[in-house]
Amino acid sequence: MCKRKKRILAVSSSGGHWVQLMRLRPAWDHCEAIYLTTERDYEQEVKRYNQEHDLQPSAFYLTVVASRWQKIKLLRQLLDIFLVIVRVRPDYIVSTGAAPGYIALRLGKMMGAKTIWVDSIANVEELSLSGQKIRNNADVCLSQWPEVASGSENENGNSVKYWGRVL
Amino acid sequence: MIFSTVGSELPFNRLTEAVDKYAQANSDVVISAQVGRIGPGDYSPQYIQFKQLLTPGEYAEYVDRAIVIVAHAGMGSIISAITQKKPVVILPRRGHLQETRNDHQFSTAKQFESREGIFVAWEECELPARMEEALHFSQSGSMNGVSDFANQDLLKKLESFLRS
Repeated sequence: MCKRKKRILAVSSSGGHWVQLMRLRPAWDHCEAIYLTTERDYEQEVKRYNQEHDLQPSAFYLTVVASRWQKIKLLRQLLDIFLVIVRVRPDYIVSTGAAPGYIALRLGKMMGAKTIWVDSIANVEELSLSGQKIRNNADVCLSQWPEVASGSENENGNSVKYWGRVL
Repeated sequence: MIFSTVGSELPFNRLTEAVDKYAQANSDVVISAQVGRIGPGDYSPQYIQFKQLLTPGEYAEYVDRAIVIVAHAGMGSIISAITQKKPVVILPRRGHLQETRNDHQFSTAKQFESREGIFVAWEECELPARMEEALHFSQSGSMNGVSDFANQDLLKKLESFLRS
């Protein structure tokens, strides 16, 4: 019997979040990877990695940049991400932040995907705001600092774990 | 060449001004800078070449050509410098000065201060001294690089979750 590869949607905004997402790639080499971000030029980096590692080409989707104060752009982002998830039907969604990752995990969870949040290594003392908001919707919520993970127990029993660092 | 970057679209006047003053005092040093979307009231450099924004490709090229990087304490800037084996001087953006939403860059800088090749200027007045140290370090031989990917523990655990 031929089993289809699991599909993973990897989501992040640009800059440090993306740099960290790229450092996690080997963890899903066995999956069909699809990327969603806010910067067109990042597609080259994805292509290069796939070629160098003999992997299938990855679908690559874009959405707009939006901060938490830009309501219209956030709506546009929500719609873009919703359409990607409907089209891709991912088995897993992984994100390193920020807003697009939060939205993708919320929507993905509702549509049956398993969700993984990797909080940025920049958040040394407490989980990011997005991380705090998403933790109850993430099947796995990781901090890259053991002290933050152990200090983040909450009443629902959704513990934040420490599995290691991107660096 | 020294490459100075504010790491995002948001200007970081304390960094850009300190680097510009350094260039004024050290005319033998070539500095290229990315300064963010500068608006009215933002510092506009006089002594260095600069661009407001860079594409990821341009950014990588500047990092490649630089002997030392000067940056805000953002993870994108720090990771790209040390993976390319470039010493990096970081000046954290501060929450109380409204340079970021909170003081996370200050905490990041504290955590990364002890790493090889990372020089922290806690305030802008310390920047020239840290830049001198970084330049000196860059001449002292090659910096140990870091892996292109996350540590094995994290990758293994993630992978096993993604196989479950």
